[in-house]
Amino acid sequence: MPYSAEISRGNPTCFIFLLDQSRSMSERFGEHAQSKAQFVADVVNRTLHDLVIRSTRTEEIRNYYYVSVIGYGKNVAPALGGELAGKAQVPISELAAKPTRLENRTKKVPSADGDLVEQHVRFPIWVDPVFGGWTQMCAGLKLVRNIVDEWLNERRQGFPPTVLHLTDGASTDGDPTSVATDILSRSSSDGHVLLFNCHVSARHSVKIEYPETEALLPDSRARTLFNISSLLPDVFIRAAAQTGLKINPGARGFVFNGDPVSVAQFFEMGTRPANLR
Amino acid sequence: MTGLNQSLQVRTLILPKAGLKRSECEDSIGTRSSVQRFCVADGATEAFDSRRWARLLTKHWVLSNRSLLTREELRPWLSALGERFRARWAKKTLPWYAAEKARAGAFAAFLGLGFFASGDSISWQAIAIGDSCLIHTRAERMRSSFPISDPSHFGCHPILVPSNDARLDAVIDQVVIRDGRARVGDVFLILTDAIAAWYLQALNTSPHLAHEFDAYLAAGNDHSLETLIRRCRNSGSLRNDDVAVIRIAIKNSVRRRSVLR
Repeated sequence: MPYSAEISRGNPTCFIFLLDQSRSMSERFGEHAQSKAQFVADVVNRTLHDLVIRSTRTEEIRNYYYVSVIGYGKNVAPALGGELAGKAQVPISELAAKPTRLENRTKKVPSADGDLVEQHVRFPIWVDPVFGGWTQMCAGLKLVRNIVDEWLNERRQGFPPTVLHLTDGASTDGDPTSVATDILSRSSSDGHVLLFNCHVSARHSVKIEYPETEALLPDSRARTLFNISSLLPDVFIRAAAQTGLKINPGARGFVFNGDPVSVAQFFEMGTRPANLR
Repeated sequence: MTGLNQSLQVRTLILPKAGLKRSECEDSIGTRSSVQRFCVADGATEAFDSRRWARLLTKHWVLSNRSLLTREELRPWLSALGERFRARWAKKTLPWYAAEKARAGAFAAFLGLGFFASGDSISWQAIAIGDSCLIHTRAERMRSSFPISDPSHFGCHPILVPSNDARLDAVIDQVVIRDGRARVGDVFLILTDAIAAWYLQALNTSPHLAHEFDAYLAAGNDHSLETLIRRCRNSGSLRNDDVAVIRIAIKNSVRRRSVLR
């Protein structure tokens, strides 16, 4: 059965985050005072944090995952900061050891008597908000294709790479269908590479999450992204259900006009293959 | 004259997931035949230091002077054990990710079983939190499986024993307690979730495999057991998870009252 491979240190998997960093990402997002770029950077940092926590065994980090963060805008390049700047892919243990900085934050946790109390935590930052330039989606996807090919050259076995692409607009460097179809045609022994796309909008437009058909999509830009989105494997649909997100069988890994909640759910759902050993 | 402890034949098996070292196994076994107390714990892989939590639970449960077979006894005992678990890390400076994981604490499924003799009869009582199982067999037929009897019911996010005191109250109400009587010839299997699910499924669909498993276990034939488990993991019928098993067979009648706790 595809997408059932155990994820272990001997058979790790990789996540590739492809982020639109074009000028329009500076716009405010939904009801938030934050820009889209700020919100996305925050969600990506939270997602990376969760992957590190999931890989932590007591004081050790097990390299179940390798991670890439690629941005396209003024430049098309790896987007991790600090000591990891310029690196196209890093094992999760290196990511854990080298955040750009640790911020002091508070979070609410239940106390012994059931009340919520504030707790001080250190929160790692790897990605800062960046915006500028055009929507060089094709160039970004080409860089992703290179990373996927290098990964599969070394690791034909195991859970295939998952690409999580977030954008707020239409490609300005051509139709991304060809290069995305290339990526989708690659496979490991456990299934084809997964490409999930999340389109976000600052306008109060009707959002469409994980559709099974393109019938309700409003324009060709939406249909293009739908057609380059993988069918969601059952393992992701089940994982989404556990977080309260209902997705129908046959759905694509695609969100159109997503709001902040959609973005958070998109990254949560897309990084949940859970068969860790 | 035979005491109850001398009438029990006990066999155990513990195996890590395929591809991992024995030192990475997060299942743990506790046996103390002298007081007829047996238990397993299954540390949750994604939690913090669950291997140590599982070992603390099994080691101290069998050593306890109290029966720890009721909710009222279990609550303060778990609270004190959790304190002991946390004390080990409280003084250390941990990296950010370990500190965060340590705050959430460890989790484990747990099942404990005690036998009691009265005159010629033997009774048992078991306590369970989570999806480790006790299977009671008589004349090669399963009499009961507790707390889960349907193999399809495994893997549904079981309630687990937390090391974190703040989470304990929500769990203690979910503790399941069962008791019964045993006869000479009866066999009790205590199994962690993956092997329990496999065994219950095998009883339904491939009883020869369940019997093969039990025969190797009874004979203490670890090599053949490991080969069987490897074969079943490779075929996909047994999930690649840690395995802990205790087999207790009632061998002789009890001819005098045993000293029981």
